[in-house]
Amino acid sequence: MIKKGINFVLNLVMSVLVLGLICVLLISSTAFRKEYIKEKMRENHFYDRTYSDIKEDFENYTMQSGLELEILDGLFTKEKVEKDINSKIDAIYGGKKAKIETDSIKSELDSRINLALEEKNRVPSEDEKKSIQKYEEVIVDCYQSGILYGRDFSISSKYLGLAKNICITAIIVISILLLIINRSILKYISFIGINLLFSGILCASIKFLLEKRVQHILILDAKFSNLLVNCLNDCIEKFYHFGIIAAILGVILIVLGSLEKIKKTIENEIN
Amino acid sequence: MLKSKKNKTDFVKATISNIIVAFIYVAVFCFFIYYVFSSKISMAMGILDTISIDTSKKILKDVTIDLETRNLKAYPEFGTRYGTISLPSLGLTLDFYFGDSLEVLRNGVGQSGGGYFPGEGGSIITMGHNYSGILKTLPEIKSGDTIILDVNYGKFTYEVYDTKIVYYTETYKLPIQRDEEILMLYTCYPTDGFGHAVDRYVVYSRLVEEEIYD
Repeated sequence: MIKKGINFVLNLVMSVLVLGLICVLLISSTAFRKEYIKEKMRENHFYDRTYSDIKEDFENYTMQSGLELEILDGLFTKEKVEKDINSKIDAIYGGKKAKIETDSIKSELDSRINLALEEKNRVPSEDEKKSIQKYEEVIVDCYQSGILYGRDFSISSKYLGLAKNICITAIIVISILLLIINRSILKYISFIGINLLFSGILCASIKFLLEKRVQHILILDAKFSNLLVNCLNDCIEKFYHFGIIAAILGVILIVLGSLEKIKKTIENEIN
Repeated sequence: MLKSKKNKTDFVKATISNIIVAFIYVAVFCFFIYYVFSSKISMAMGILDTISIDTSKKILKDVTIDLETRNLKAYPEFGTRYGTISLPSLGLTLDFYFGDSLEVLRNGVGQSGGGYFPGEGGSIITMGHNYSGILKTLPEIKSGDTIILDVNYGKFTYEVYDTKIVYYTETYKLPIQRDEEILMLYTCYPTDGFGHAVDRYVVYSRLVEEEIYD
């Protein structure tokens, strides 16, 4: 009875640790991996949409400035936007602060404005010079805030690594304890089967709990929301598929482990 | 090995009991998580529901006004065009939108969500860019000139009584009230300058005529 109780508790703890390890591994391979994020951005045309949004913001400020929209033609490229977004992502995952280069935009804009005023034979007043300077600063700010919303933060996978190591160590320790207590590989296999079935059920049920709720998330703007929803759906699918596989594998191992019972019965019959 | 009935029974019993144990673990785990973290789970689900906006459920209803209460029965969706704004003295007729997003302002005149709607008897705050073809010539408007809002539930004529140059942070000069229907239309100023404008040219007009459509 005490042995059954100890088995129950140790196996429950190991089940939770296995679930935790699965979650850590799945999250490490998705949200905490910058290549995954970049790939999702490409799939969702995030770079193209950012380019369009920045261009639109530039045009809106220019429409209020007395300058023609042609002044913005080719001022920045899609490739620059993608490069800057990627460097920002590298900085986020590397724990550093990204520096977005905008001097080229400002100097090019300044020379184009001077040329436009020369063509109109217009000599700007002191106030207009200040307004023009302010306009250039606004355009540069617009570009910087357009690159991942101008936010600086970092994502560290240090704690995930620590959690993974703790889970693996604890699983090994409990496995050794279970083997010592039960002295049976087949019984241990059935315990692993229970762990996998437990994890599989919980991972698969995440889909039913969260899938409908995350479809209409709206944060910041449509392009970010689409990216977030896409990533969440992908993670939920990964959890679901893993859950199904783990549950099936768990049942198989439980069946294998149940042979322990047969082995005992046969040994008793022989004796 | 499985030939004897007892062996088969023991095998099936062992398999089923282990599967049941797994489900018991699921139940214990879920109960524990719910018991310990229920408030945090509720908060997380609440946040998730708050940021989830199912726009497919929003129906774009016909915009109509209740003549007794002077409240709109249904409102236009943010960003939708629901009429035109005309400034006959300037020869302008522009698309009129509910909303003041950058996309709206590129295409016409926008209405701020912070005020009232035409016919509701309060302040209506509208704005447009000082771009050529939109409100570049707004400073040429004079007192006595008319501004006409022709929206899908009626036509509202306003008479200009005042114009002001207002710093962009002086929002108190565009007061929200419901004592009188006042249309405020503004654009960046100066309209013929260059660079980033911090002033706004505001035109104040009051309702003088209305025609509600059936």
